[in-house]
Amino acid sequence: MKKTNIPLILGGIILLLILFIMIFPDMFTDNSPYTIQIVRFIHEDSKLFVERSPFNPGSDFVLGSDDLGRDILSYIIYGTRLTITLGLLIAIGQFLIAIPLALLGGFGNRLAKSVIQQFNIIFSAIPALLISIILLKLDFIADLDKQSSIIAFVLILTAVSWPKLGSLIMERVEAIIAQPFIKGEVAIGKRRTKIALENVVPHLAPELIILFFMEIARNLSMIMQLGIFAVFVGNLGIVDDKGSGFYINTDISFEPEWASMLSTSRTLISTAPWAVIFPALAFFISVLGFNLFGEGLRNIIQKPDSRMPLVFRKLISLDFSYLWRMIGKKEKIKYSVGTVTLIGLFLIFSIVNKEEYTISLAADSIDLPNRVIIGTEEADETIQQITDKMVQLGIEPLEEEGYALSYDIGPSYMLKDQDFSISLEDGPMDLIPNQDFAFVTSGDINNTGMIHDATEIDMFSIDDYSKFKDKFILIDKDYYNDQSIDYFIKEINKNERVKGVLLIARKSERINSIIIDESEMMSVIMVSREVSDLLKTNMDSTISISSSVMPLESTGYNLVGIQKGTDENIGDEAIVIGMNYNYTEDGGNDVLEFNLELMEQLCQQQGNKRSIIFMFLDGTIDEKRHGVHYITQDFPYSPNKVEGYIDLSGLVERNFDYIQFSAAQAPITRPFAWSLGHHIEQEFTKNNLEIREIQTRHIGNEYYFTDSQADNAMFWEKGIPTIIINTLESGEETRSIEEVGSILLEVINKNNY
Amino acid sequence: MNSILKVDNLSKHYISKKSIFSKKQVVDAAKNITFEVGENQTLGLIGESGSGKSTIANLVLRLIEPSNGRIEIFGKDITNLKEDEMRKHRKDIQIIFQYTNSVLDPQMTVDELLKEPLKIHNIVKESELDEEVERLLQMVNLSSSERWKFPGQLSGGQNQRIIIGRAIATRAKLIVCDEPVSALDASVQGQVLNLLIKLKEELNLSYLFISHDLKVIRHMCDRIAVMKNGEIVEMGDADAILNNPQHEYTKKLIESILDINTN
Repeated sequence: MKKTNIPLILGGIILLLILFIMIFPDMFTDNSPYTIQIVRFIHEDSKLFVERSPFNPGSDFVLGSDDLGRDILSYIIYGTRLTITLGLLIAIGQFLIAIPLALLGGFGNRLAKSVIQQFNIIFSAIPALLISIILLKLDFIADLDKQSSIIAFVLILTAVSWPKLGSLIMERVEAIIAQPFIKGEVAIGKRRTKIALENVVPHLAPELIILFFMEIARNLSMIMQLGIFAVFVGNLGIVDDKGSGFYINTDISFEPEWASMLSTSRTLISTAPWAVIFPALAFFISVLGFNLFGEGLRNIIQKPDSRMPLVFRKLISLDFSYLWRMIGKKEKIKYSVGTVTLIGLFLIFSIVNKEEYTISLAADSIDLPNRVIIGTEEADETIQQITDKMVQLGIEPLEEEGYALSYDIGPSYMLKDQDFSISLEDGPMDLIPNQDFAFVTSGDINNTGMIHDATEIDMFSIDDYSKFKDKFILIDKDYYNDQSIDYFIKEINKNERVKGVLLIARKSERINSIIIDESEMMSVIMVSREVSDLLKTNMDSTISISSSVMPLESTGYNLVGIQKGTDENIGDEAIVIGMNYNYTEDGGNDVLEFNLELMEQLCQQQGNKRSIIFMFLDGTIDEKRHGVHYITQDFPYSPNKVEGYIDLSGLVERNFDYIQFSAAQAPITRPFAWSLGHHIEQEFTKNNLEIREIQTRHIGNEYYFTDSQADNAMFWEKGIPTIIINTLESGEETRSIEEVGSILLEVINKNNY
Repeated sequence: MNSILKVDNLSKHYISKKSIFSKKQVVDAAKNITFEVGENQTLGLIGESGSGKSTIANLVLRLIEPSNGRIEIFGKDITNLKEDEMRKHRKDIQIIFQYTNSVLDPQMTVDELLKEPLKIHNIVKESELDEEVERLLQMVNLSSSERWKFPGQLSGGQNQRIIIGRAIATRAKLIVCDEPVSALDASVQGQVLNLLIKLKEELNLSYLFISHDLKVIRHMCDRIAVMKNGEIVEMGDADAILNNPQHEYTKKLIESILDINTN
């Protein structure tokens, strides 16, 4: 009777499991490995307990948590990918070096032979483990980022471990060459290279395959040992919080990887043994899996009558038809069934996987107005619709006055008509509104006049504004901050009858205005750099502007509602999502619809342990009247309880090309938001969304966004860590916000435990 | 008579050193060997084991490097040819080994084994390969059904026929037979020897026939060289040597066989 090959089956099952975990980690856990939670609150017998991580295994953390409160199970599962890949890459590296050298050495090349022997002597005299620790602990290597750190890790471990493998293979090659049939092949006049490929390698191949699996196992245990000595890949350099601004390397990795878990938790062995035992177990099982599989393979392919070498020879010479003929009909069926089942399994897994988090805009949608602008009737109408939706979803208002929190925006006007033309030598030239120019302040005004270039003058040093009389003044915004410009305008307005002020926009500043302040006398107009260049080269030309305006209600409304978290301990903690509901163009209602849909799906998701606060901000189309300024002044929730703010008010169109993303205001000192931002960024990259950084400038160790005041409000006014997602288009509009929505759904759900 | 193989003053010695304190010792595996093999002629090399017969076989085929002397094939000096140039000449001179079951790659089918020399030396066109394999099988008295088998599935005699088939596939004129039948059953021995004789006639082959078995030598050879301790002690026509041995060693060799026969 045929003996069952137990090692092969057992090892195969383990390896298959590892493979599936590597490809579909999210099938095996709902938790994000990045989430950090150092303190948790427990209500028990009407008492409140505060517990600090590491937490025991329990309902929250199946396998417990580590020192930072990260879920061990999800960390192990997500860590599989990196850890096993490392083992695999190192093994590939070893074989790439060892096989050619061993073949050369086996065929009598002295250099190759002595290289193998000398290296082997060196590395058996000094333990490879020691060398790798010394090398990998060098500051230069420890400071590398994740990608280069992986490369350095693989290279060094390959370098220290290949000689052993090399001499092993060389011995095998020599043994094969010593066999009489090689002499027969020489006598018949066969080339050495051909003998190597057609006679030596095929006889070597089964051994190599077994060795390959054994080497992976060996590499994994090496990685584990290094982990115990606090050497691991993905060592993240983080900025020292104590103000020095130095990069420090901790023994903590923020990239899921098993060795780093051992390293982080090795001091906890007595207090939190689970944090050490489970990653060690993960190592143990996978090492066992690879070893068993190798052993099992040995049992089949090293039988004396095995035809594996033949199979390899045919594979090397790409002669597949022969193999096809060689396999019996029964086996053909067996193998095909196996392959089809495996492919089927993968397909099923990937389909099941995809279905979970998707957001799509329904065809029959809510009736939304063509444009919604703060202080207009359409806005009131939209507010009513959003309120209805919130009520329908069971979202509760935060303040007594209801969902809509009003704020005063001062006298505001909406532009009805606007014109700007320059009389050049070859006739007048009309500029395009909201591209070449945009009114900032105006009224029902019609003005014509010459320009005075003040870009070369220091505006602060001017006492007498009389030379600007009846002219338009050109000021470069790049040289002054907003307060200074406000001051100049006020001064100019006070002293002389100036026709207007032209402000040259800053580099990345949006030239766009719908709502303006009123002025009866003078207009303030923002112009693009191109227009200013044109004006500067035609200084003697006259320009004429005209505008007519319509007054708006001076009240804006931010809509705020909360969906309470289900967990009694962390239910008070909240994630805030900021969205816009103002828009000026037809496409804008898609975005509003998307926002509503996102809210609905987030509410309907299972397991929202933390509260989610939805904020529909008014006035997002206008920097000055942006709802966020007012909400931060009178924040309806305790800011300390807000774990993070996701700013989606920059989603302006349904289709876009790239994403402006920044989690710079969610620093690692704010672990929850940091991990959220990290996770979102990773998902974006995974889905091939092009990410561009938002321009930032440092203040101390923290970041300040240069583009927009509104972007900074939450972080700088209330200290709420902020993740900003803007969509921008470059004309092709290849991506859709639905993709962003799906990612957000997934990330928020996975982090909200 | 056309000389196919000419060996002149050929020597091979190994230097052995038992320990770092002992003196170097020179071991002569072959010493000043000189002989010639003519067209369609068989030269027998006889001697006890260790007398250097196989060394000569390997030297002639340049499987090991000679220390001294000259080897000529068809009048061409091949003593110092580089391996690349030597390979072109390998089709002219082939070898049949003693251990039939280990000199064929166990992972190649008979078909592949026979096609290999044909492909290496471009003996026939790609399209005629199969036909040629069939012809070779027929020539060495094997049936077509053996074509898809592996050496491990065949008997020693069958394997030896395949080795012979590989040797004649290159259209070699000289075949070195290194104890071709000593590992085979007595019954098979005769068949293989007769096959060799048949092929010699059909293909006009020359053999350098190495054996320790005088009977086999007598059966096969036109001329005989007797070897002892790496040297040829006596050489001449087969009949002359067997009937009228001159050297003491040759006499002893012949007597030992007679003894067995009379007993």
